[in-house]
Amino acid sequence: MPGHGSGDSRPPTSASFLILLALADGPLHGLGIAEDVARSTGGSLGLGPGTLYTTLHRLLDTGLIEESPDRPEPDADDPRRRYYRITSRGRRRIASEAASLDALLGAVRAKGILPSGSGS
Amino acid sequence: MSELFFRALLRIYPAAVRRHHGEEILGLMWARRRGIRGSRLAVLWLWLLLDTVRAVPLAYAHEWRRRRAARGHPAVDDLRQAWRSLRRRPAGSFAIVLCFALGVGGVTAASSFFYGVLIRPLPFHDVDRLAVLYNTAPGFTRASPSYADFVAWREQTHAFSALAAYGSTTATLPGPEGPERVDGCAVTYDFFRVLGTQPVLGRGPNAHEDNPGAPATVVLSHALWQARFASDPAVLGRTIVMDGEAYTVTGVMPAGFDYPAGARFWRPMRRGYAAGTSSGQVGSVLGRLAPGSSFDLARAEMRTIARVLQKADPRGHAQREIAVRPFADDLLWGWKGPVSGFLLVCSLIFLLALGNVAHLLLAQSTIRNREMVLRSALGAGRQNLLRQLVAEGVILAILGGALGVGLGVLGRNLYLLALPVPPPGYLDFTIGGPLMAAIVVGTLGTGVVVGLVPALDTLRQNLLPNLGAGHLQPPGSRGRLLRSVLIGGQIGIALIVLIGAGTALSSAVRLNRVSLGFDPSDVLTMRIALPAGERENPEGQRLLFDRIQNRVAALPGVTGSALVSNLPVGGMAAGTSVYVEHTEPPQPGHEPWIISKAAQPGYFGVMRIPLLAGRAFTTTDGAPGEPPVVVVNESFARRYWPDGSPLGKRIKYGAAGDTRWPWMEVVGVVGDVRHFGRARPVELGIYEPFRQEPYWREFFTVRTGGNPGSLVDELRAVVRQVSPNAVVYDLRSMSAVLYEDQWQSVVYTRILAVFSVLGLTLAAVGVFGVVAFSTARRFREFGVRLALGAQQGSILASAGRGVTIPVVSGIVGGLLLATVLVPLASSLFYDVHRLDPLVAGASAVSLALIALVATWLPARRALKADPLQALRAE
Repeated sequence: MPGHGSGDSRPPTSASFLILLALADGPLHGLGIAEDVARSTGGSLGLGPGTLYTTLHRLLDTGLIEESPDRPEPDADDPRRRYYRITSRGRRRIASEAASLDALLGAVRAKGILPSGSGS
Repeated sequence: MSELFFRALLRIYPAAVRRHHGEEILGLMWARRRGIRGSRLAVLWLWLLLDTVRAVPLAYAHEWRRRRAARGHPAVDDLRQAWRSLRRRPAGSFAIVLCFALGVGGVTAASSFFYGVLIRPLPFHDVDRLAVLYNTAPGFTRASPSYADFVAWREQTHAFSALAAYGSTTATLPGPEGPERVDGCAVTYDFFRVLGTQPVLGRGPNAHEDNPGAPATVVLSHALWQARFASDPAVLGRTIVMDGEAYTVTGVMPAGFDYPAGARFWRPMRRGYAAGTSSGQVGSVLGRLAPGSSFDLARAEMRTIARVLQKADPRGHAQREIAVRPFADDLLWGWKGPVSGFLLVCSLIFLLALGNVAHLLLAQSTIRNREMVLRSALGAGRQNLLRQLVAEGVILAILGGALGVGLGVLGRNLYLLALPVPPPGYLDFTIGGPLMAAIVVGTLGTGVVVGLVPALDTLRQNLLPNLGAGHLQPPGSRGRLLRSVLIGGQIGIALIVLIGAGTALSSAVRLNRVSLGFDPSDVLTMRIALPAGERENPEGQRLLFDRIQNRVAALPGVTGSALVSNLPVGGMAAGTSVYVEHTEPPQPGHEPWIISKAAQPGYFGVMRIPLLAGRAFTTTDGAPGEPPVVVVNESFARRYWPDGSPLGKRIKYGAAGDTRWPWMEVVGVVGDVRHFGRARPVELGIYEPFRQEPYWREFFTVRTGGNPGSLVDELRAVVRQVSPNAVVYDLRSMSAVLYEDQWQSVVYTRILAVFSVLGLTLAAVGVFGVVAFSTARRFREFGVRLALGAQQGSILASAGRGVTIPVVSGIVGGLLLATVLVPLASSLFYDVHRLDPLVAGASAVSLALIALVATWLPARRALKADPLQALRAE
C-alpha cells in the first residue's frame, strides 16, 4: 500500500492522538477518520482498519470519544455507518498530549536539529 | 477470496471488538480493496495483516484490563450485582441495615466491656499469681490486719515470695491555683515488687524507708509528674511538699499504672503507721505467690500462721482467720456480673434484630420471586441466584455492621461519660484487634446465614410455574414454618428481655422504697485539710472548726451545719466492738460488730435523722471533765434493751474486763441509717460527741434551705477567711455522694429500661411485619371470601390463626427460660430470688397485646378494602 511505511514507525499512542485530532472538528465515521488522518499526515494512508477500530474501541471504552447521535442529512447518510465524536475529556487529552509534544519539539529545536519556527 | 481472507483476519480480534466494530472493519477493508488488482492486492493483504498483528495485542491487553477491572472476580461480580439489586429497594434495604446496626451496636458496646473485664489480661505482671490477704472472723467478712499482724505474716510466710501492705491516703500539695488535696497511697517497700511494675524513672521505696525515722520519700504517678514537674527527667532527688513536709522524689511510675485506682503518689508506710490511726490497721495486703507455690498451699500456710497468732494473743486473735483470694477476682468483683448480664441482654437484642432482618429478607424474597424466576429463565443457574442472595446478605451485614460498630463505640463512650466516677485505669474498654476481628467475622458470618435463609426459601420452590403467577402466591408450607419459628423465637427473646428489665425495675422500685434513714436533699458536704501546723494541736483544730462552723451557720440559706467522722453512706465506716453493761460477755470472737461515728451537736438535724428517745448532743458533751455520753441507733437499742429504756444504761469499747476505755452513758436513741446502702441490712451503730472522740477525719455537713450548689463559693470563702492555707476538698452535695455510692443500680436499671424498649420495638416490628406481609399476600383470598359472603370476624380469625401458635409458643418458651435465668442473675438485683409472677405476667400480657395489635392492623386494612379491588389486586 502506498505511503504506509511511515505509519509503522509511529509510537503507538499517536494513533489515538491522530484520531482524537481528526474528531476535533466534528463527528466523523470510521472511513472519514482514516481519510482525515491521511490528510493531516501528508497524504499517507497510515491508519489500517485494525489499528483504527481497536483504537476507537479503546477510546470509546475510556470515555475519550463517544458515538454521535448527530448524523448528516438523510440523503448523504449511510445508515450502516457509525459516527463518533470527541468528548470534553478527549479534548483535554489532546491538549495535554500536544503540550508534551510541544515541549519535545522545543527540546529538538534547542539542539539545532530543526530550525526554529519551521513547520512540518 | 478477499472476503475469506478479511473474515479470517477478523477472527483474530477480541470478541468485544468484533462485536462492536466487526462490520465497520470489514467495510473499511473493502473500501481499501476497491480498485486494486494484481500484485498490489498482495501488498494490500500484507499491509492488512501487519495492521492486524500490530493492533491485536494492544486490543487484547485492553480487553484483559477491562475485564479484570469490571468483573475481576466472580465474588466481586456477585457483590456488584447484589449492590445494584439492593439500591433498587432503598427503603427495605435501609430497614435491614438499621436492624443490623442496632443489633451489632449493642453487642459491640457490651462486648467491649465484657472483653475489658473478663478477657483482656489486667496490666500487672503475671497477675494470676497475685493474691489479696485479709482477716475474717465471725460477724465480719473482711477486715484489715494490724501493722504488727502484717509484719508477722510477712516474716512467717514461705508460700509468698513477697507481701506488701498499702492504704489509701490523701495529702495537701501546693498547686498553681493554691493548695490542692491529692489522693495517694501509703505502701510498704515491697509494693511495686509484688505488683511487678517498677518505676520508669528512679526507684521505689526501700526497706530502710519503712522505718519511722527515715527520710521522707515519694514515688510520683506519671500524671502528677507531668503536671507538677512538666515531665522533667531531672525530678529525682528534688523535693515536693506534702502536708507541709518535704518529700524527696525517688521515682516516677509509668503512664497507665493506676493502682490503687486514682492514686497520684505512693509514699512509704512507716512502721509507726498503725499507732497513728484510730483503727490501727494497714488497709490492704497484697502477695505474690512464690515459685512452685499455689493458692491452696498459701491458704494452708495462712491457716497455720493464724493459729500461731491466736496462740500468742488468744483475745485479740480469737477466731480470726486469714483469707487468701486471687487479686484479679478481687479487682473485678462487682464488674463481672453486670458486664455478663449486659452482654447477654445485648446478644438477645442482636438475635431479635437478626430475626427482623430475616423477616424483611424473606418478605423481599417472596416479592422478588418474579425477578428470580425471570433471571433463572434467562439462564442464571441456581448457584448464581444463591450467590447473589448471599452477597446481598453480606453487603447488608457490612453496612449494618459498620454503622453498628460506630453506634456501639458511641454508646460505650456515652456510658463511660455517664459514670459518676471514671472506671479504674487498669480496666481497658477499647476495642482492640482481636475483639474487632471477632465482631467483623461474627457480623459477616451472620450476614451469610441471614442471606441464606430467604435464599433457600426462594430456591426450594419450583420457580418456573410461578412465572405467570406474579408475586402474590400463597405462602408455601415450609416458608410458613420458617416464619412461625422466627415469630416464636422473637416473641420468646423479647419476653426474656422484657422480664429482665421488669425485674430490674421492680427491684429498683422496691429498693428505692427502703428508707436510708436520713434526708440527703439540700445537704452539702465538704472536707477541710488544715495546714500542717494547725493540724497537730487538737484543741486548736477544734477552735478553728468551731469558727468555721459559726460563720457557715451565719450564711444566708444555711439552716444547720455539723461535723461528722463518717457520712451516712459511702466510704469506709469505723467498725469496732463494744461491751454493754450487765449483759453476758460475748464469746471471744463473737463480739458484735458495730459502726461507731463521732458527730457534733446538730448533726442529726442536718441529716434529719429522727431522735426517738432521750436527747441529742449538746455543746458541752465531751468537754474536759464532762462524763462520757453516747447516742445509739434504734437497732442497737432493740438488740440490747428490747424491753426497757436504754437511757441511762452504760456501754464501753472493748471487752467486758477491758479497762482502757471508760463507760459511756446512753443519753439518746436515733433512727437507723443504712451506711452500706439500701440493699444491705442495717448495722448496729453508736454516735459519740465529736469533742469526746476527736477523730482524725471529719466531714463538714451543711443543710441549706434549697439549691445547695449556690453556696459552694461562699463555703470556700469562709474557710479561706478563717484559715488561708486550709484546703477544701470533696465538696459535693449529699445527693451526689449517694449517687456515687450507688450509681451502679441506677445506671444498670436505666440501661435495661432502654434495652427493654428497644427489644419490645424490634419484636413488635417483627410481628407486625410478618403478619402484615402474610395478610397482604392473602389480600386476594380475603377479597374472594368477602365477596362470597364470609363474615369479617372469620376473616380476622383466619388472619390471626397463623400467628397465634407461634406467639403462644414463644411466650411459653420465654417464660420457661426466664424461670431458669432469673435465679442465675439474682445477684444483679435487690431482693430477687426467683421469677416474679407479676413481672412475668405483665410482660407476657403486654407482648401478647402487641402481637394482637400487630395482627389486627394489617388485617383490618384488608377488610376495609373494596372486595372487587382486592380481587383485581395482583
